[in-house]
Amino acid sequence: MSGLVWLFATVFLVFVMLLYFLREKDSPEFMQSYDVPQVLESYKSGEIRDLRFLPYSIFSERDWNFVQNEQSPFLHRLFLEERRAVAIHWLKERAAWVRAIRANHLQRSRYSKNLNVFAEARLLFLFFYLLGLCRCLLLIVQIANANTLRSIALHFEAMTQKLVQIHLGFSNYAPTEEKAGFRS
Amino acid sequence: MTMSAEVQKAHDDLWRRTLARVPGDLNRMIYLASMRDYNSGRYHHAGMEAHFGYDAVRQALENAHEELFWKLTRSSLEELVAELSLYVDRSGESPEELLRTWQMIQPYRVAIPMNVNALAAHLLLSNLRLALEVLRNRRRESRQSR
Repeated sequence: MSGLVWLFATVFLVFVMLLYFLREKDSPEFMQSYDVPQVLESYKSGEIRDLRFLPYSIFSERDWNFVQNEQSPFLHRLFLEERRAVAIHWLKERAAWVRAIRANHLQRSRYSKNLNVFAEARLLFLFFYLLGLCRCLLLIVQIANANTLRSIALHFEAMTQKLVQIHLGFSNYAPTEEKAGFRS
Repeated sequence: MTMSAEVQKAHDDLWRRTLARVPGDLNRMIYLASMRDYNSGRYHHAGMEAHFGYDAVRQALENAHEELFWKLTRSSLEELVAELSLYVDRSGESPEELLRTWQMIQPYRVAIPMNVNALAAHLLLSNLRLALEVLRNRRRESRQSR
């Protein structure tokens, strides 16, 4: 019985921390202004798809092996520092995309008459999932070797690209009213 | 990116007659950056402008600059070290001086095209810093082993 209580207490604590974690206001330097129409235009033009190579390069095992073969402790440390900085930049940019798309979607769906509840729920889950994953990655990348995050980073990039794709699909909603020049 | 016929001709001419003579992609990118005015950001090549017109040449130079940027950004660190080594060898300067100067004042920062993705630019600059350290480390080891 006491085991069950501990389990519930732990789950409850994790839930509260997650809620706080996801709703915490971001510092100004974390929140970047992203023009959603610009993000979507970049996707349509192929620019965002062209950036898919970035996490492969940032978390490259080949580069890490190359640096290790150079047998220089200073170079190892420099490599980890540099890649950590680029990884953080990448995560912040992707998080800004997700937030911008979320805010834009909330605004557009307010004026839409043909909402699909299942699709909206799926999108909501995706927003929370991506933002939560991003926060976790940001924490882990500060303390661990960036290369250890390769698989999850590639997964995160794929899901973010998928979100942009889904949002493009939602852009076919027939809004009764639109506000121009929205920025997150 | 699709190019108009004039821009395409200028672009092909640039690669065939000018860039083909410059060894290595890093060298080419730095060369193209030198064609850009620091104040206006516009590219100039007097010889080509006489044949193809200012607008076509400006666009062709900008396109080529960005192509090389993306190619270098996608390169592995090992490939970039090879490119930097080639640049150092062909510069005509003392390798030690060049590497020290590059580490101190980072002149390669102005070789990046203007309108590229900031994250991609960050990655390339970061890789160049690493490549510099790799070369300096190798030279140090080579001196110590003598």
